[in-house]
Amino acid sequence: MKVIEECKKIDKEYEAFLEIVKIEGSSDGALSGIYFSFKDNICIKGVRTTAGSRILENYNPVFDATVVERIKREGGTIIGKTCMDEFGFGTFGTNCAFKQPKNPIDKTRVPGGSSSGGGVLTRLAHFPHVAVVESTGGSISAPAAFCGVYGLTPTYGRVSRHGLISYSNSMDKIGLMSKDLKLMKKTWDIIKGKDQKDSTSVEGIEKELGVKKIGVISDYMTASDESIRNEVEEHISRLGVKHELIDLKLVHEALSAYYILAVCEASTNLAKYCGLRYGAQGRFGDKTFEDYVTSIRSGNFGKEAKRRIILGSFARTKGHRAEYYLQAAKVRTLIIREFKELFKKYDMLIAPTMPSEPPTLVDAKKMLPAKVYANDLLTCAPNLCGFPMLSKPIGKRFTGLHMICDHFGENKLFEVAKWRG
Amino acid sequence: MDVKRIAEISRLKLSEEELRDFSKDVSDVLRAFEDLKRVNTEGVEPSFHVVGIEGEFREDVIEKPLTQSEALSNVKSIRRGYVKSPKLI
Repeated sequence: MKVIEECKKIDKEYEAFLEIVKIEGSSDGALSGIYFSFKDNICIKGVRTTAGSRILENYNPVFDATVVERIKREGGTIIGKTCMDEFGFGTFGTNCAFKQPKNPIDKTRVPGGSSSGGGVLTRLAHFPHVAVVESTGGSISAPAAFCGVYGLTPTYGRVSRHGLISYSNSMDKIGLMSKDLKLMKKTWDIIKGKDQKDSTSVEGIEKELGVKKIGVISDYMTASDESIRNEVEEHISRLGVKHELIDLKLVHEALSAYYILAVCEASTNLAKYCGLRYGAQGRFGDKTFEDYVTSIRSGNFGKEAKRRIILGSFARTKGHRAEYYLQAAKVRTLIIREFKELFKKYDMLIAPTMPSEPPTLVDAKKMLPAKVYANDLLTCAPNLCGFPMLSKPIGKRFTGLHMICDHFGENKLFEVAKWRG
Repeated sequence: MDVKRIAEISRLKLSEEELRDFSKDVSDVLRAFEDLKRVNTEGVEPSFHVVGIEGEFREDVIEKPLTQSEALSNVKSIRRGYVKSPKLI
């Protein structure tokens, strides 16, 4: 019970949870004695799951996500659902319909998003804890850096997404956050792998260990604040491994391609919310089907969700599909090729995770959308291409060292994350 | 872009304030994404699954599905075991 009391205390002060529960896993297993929180877009049977949106306010899943099943089977204990930006739409963690999580290092600042509550809880928990979270364009790395914890975003498809509430099908990935790399690795070994219930999941062949040469992404270094750049440079030089500065050709184009694909896929995913089968529902009265669905959607989606639906619907219209959606998917091919070429020469690429310190809650809420989106510059390319990445907390407060590997290179990430810098 | 029209086909009714804000936001964002159009993608295939798997099928085995009451457990308006909806026409 002590753990649950601690969770309640953390929640009262930092608003990290959307639900606190206690569900014991099997009596024995590889994850016995570890406590797991789940981002609120991952379904747990009988536990309210909202994805941070009013449109799913009372949704009660009737099944466990595969990742939940696997953790329970190995003896993990579930302690609740963590706060998130609505459907994952957010860089800073200021876009949840129900709560406003606060940065655990400085309460006036944002915690990072969209896995905001996962980052906050991971930092503050004094018990053995792993947060099961999700990333589309940086939603694990950003809060991991801002909250000063480890964040693993795996290769696209390596963790089953059965039971994950979709944002962007070609980019959503379930990953982990922890303060303890060993617990993270232990959990990783349980959750990865093919699942019959998710046709996009892959088993994959792990890349061989051994990191001898690292490429440091110069464009991401120069895009970052000087203090962050310095901390990353110092850390890399202390690693004692051969490293070289490298240039990327399509830096800003990756951000554009990421956002176009993300909003297009989001707008199709959110089309299913019609107020009839689950989530927000109302009285029909004299309303026609069209009017009823419009009223439910207009009254329950938040502002950012509406903005992304409009952007995505526009980019998929007949006259603009080739110009935006298809062009973005082709640019993605070019970016994958560029990274794959680099991985022939370098075992790993490194950069800062986020370009600047977390803004205050007040400043973040005033920021215009195009400026908020620009903060994903360093995380969007590897997410767009499905490469695995791990953010390691370094420096004094909010700096993350972002390590990126070729597909199926997760063990290399764990290897270098252990090195003292 | 005609934001009002796009909102309508997305089944969203925007307030005056939302319409004003979104018109500005959306044109700012699209302007920021103009760089995409300048990339030469002639002869390049689009990537939809980045790890490159296709045609995955599971074994054709009957599994235990959700019961009807489980499938309907989140529905507020049910009639004779079906989801009830407002009139379509």
